Order: sequence, then C-alpha cells, then structure tokens
Amino acid sequence: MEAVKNYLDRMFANLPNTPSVMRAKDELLQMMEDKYTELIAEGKTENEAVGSVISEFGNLDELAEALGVEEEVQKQKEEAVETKEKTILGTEEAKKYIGIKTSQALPIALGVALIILGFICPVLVSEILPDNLDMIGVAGMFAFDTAGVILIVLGMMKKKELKNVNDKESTLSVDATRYVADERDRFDSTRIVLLITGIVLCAGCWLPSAVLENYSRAENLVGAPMLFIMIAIGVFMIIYSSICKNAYDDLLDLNDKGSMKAQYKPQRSSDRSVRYISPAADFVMSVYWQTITCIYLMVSFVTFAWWASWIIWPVAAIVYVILKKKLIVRPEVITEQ
Amino acid sequence: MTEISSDIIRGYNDTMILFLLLKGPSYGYEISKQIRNLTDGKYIIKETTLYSAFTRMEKNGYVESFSQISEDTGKRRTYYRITTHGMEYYRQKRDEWVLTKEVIEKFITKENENGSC
Repeated sequence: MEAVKNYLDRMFANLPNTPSVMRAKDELLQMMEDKYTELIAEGKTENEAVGSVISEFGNLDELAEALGVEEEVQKQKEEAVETKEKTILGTEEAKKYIGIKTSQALPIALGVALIILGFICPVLVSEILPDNLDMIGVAGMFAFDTAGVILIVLGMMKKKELKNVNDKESTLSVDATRYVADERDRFDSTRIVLLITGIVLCAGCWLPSAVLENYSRAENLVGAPMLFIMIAIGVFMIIYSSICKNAYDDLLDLNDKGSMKAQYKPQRSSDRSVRYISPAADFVMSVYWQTITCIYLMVSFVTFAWWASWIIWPVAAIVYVILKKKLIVRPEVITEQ
Repeated sequence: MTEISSDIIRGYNDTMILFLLLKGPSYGYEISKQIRNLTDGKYIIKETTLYSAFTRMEKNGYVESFSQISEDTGKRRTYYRITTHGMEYYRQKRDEWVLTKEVIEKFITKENENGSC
C-alpha cells in the first residue's frame, strides 16, 4: 500500500493544496485502497496488486478540469524539465546532511558550555589561593572562553559543505522525505528528554548553593561551581537538541510548500501541525524557547537571583500557550455535504 | 483483441454510473467493481475518470455526495446518491443511446451476411 500512496503523492506533488485537490486525493486514495485490499484478499501478491491499481489509475489531465487546476497541470508538464534541474537529494545524501549537522551540534554546544564553565575559575581561585593571585582565575576563565569560541567557530565552519541544502537548490526525493520524517520522529523523544532535562538543570542550578548555605566555605567551594556545571550541562543539552532538530526541519523545508511531500510536516510531528497567521508569528514562535533561555540566563547572571529566576519558566510556558492559541490558524476543514 | 475506444465510451460513463446509482447510494470502488463485473471485465473504468465524472455530475446536480461510515470496514467513505434531476438525465441519455444504436446498427454488417469482412 505504501507504493500506491507514494505514487499518488508523486502525481499530486505539484498541485496546490486547495480543498478540492485534497478532497480528490483523499477519495482517489480511498478507491485505490479498496481495490488494493480486495486484490490482496483475492490472493494477488503485493506487486501484482500495486501494478494493477497503478495501471488502472488513469491520468491527471482528466482530473484537471474537475479540480480547477488545468493551469497547474499544464505548468507541471512544462516545468517537468526545469524541476529536474533542481538536485534531488536521495536518502543517502539526507543521511549525510543529518550526519554533518549533528556532528556540528557537538562542538557548538560544547563551546557554549565551556564558556559558562569558565566562570568557575575566578570563583574557585579566589577561594583557594591568596588574593594577589586572582589573576590566575581570570586567566583560566579566558582560557575556557578561548577554547569555547574556537569550538563554536569550528562547528560553524563546516557549514560550507551543506551549501546545497542551505541555498534551497535541491529538493528531497519521496523516499528521503519519509526517511527524514521518520528519523525526526524517532529523535523527537530524545530531544524532548534532553530539552526538559536541560531546563530542569538550569532551573535547579541554585539548589546546591541553597543546601550548603549554612556552610559558607562549602557553599563557595562546591555550591558555586555546581551552579555553573549544572547550567553548562543544561545549556549544552538545550543547544544540542535544537541544532539536531533543525537538521531534520531544514531538510523537510526543502520540499515546496505546495507539494504533497510538504504534508510530512503537518502530518508527522505535532509541533509542525500548526500554521501561524503570519510569517512574523511563525518566526516568533520558532525562536520562542531559545529566546526565553537567553533571557533566563541573562537575568540570572546579572541579578544572581537563581533562587527566584526559575519563575521565568512557568510564566514563559503560560505565555506560550496563550500566544499559540492567539496566533494559530485552524486547518481548513474540507467541507463535505 | 478489440478494445473499447475511450472516445466513444466517454459520453456514456455518466449513464453507467447513474444506472448503478438508481439501485441505491454507492461509493467509488463499489461502482468501479460493478462496472467491471457487469461488463465481464471488458470495460474497466479508471479512477480518475470515475472521480471526474462524480465531480462533474455533482456540479450539474445529477448526484449528491454524503459522507458515511461503511458498515463492513468501519471506514468513512464518500457515498453518492442520484437526484431526481439525475434520473431525468439518465432517461434522456438512455433514449439518446437507443436512437444512436439504431442508427449505427444500420451500417454494421453482421458476419457472414455480406461475405467480405
């Protein structure tokens, strides 16, 4: 049945997503599915069944008038040559792209984590060594910062290899689309665990200090470093998981909005099943959590009120829900009589 | 083997579908199966042909569509039912065909009759 769906996807690939087109596709799939099921029940092999379903499908020209898409069908024929010029990325290339992107995520996330860890140096040094050696701590911090920046730059640099995808000069094959969508779904649970753990670590980073409050030396020796270690690990998880997710989304974004392959976006993942009222709203919502993370870290570092700043998270969550309700566009329901 | 010319039959797809709908509401695959069975597999209607016939006839008011959960599979399907307007159109097409057949028949030789075909 997958082959039949695939075939239908390809036939409809360049038609607009109008209600009448969607309805036609649904109903044609219904008919083909019925026929396929019956052929299989009659004892035909999968290949035979797919073969006769596809050979008895007919052609798009016939549908064009009924759907009011004559123009598109004509254009599709004319552009058949042009679209071929767009490089079609197969599953292998998609795998390679995801591989490169994921390997990029590690140095970038690690770099940011190192910069945060750098703060430990001056804190520890001022605690252990005499005051006149404070410079060592500052130097240590700069060493961490430098290493972090180098890692981030290294991670960013690889991007040249991904030019094809970034320039949107290619498109995904149907198989590759399904592969990427499946992979993203599989990664999604990992991503959510990473994200939540990351947020919990950041939000709870003040706990060690709070527990050790009564032992002021221990607080400075263990509590303060623990605070930075927890933030560093938390931020690492958040950045790593979101870069990995972007790898899948970037690939899926290559498919034209109008093509049926783009259906994989809404169908597959819950957070993509939403359409926002404007590109601006879409942008705001897509960078929402990253922005909140930044605000949280900045507020916390500036005020050093870690015990209170976690409030930002529940508030942000509520605002997120409200924003989502306001900015979302309900998917058009196909009217049936 | 002789095959049906799609040009000729095109004008009568609607007639076949309406004929089958006279017996009661039905859905896409059911109709296409009945056409195949009734013609002993000599005519197999393409899915795209069937769907465009449905949309065209719906637009002209010959049929109405409604969505219903199928009894045997439990799946939601689009069913079609014939309207009175559709029945009228069917009768009109039937008379047209009887006349057409009568006329064309005059020019068709039966085998053995004229010897040379």
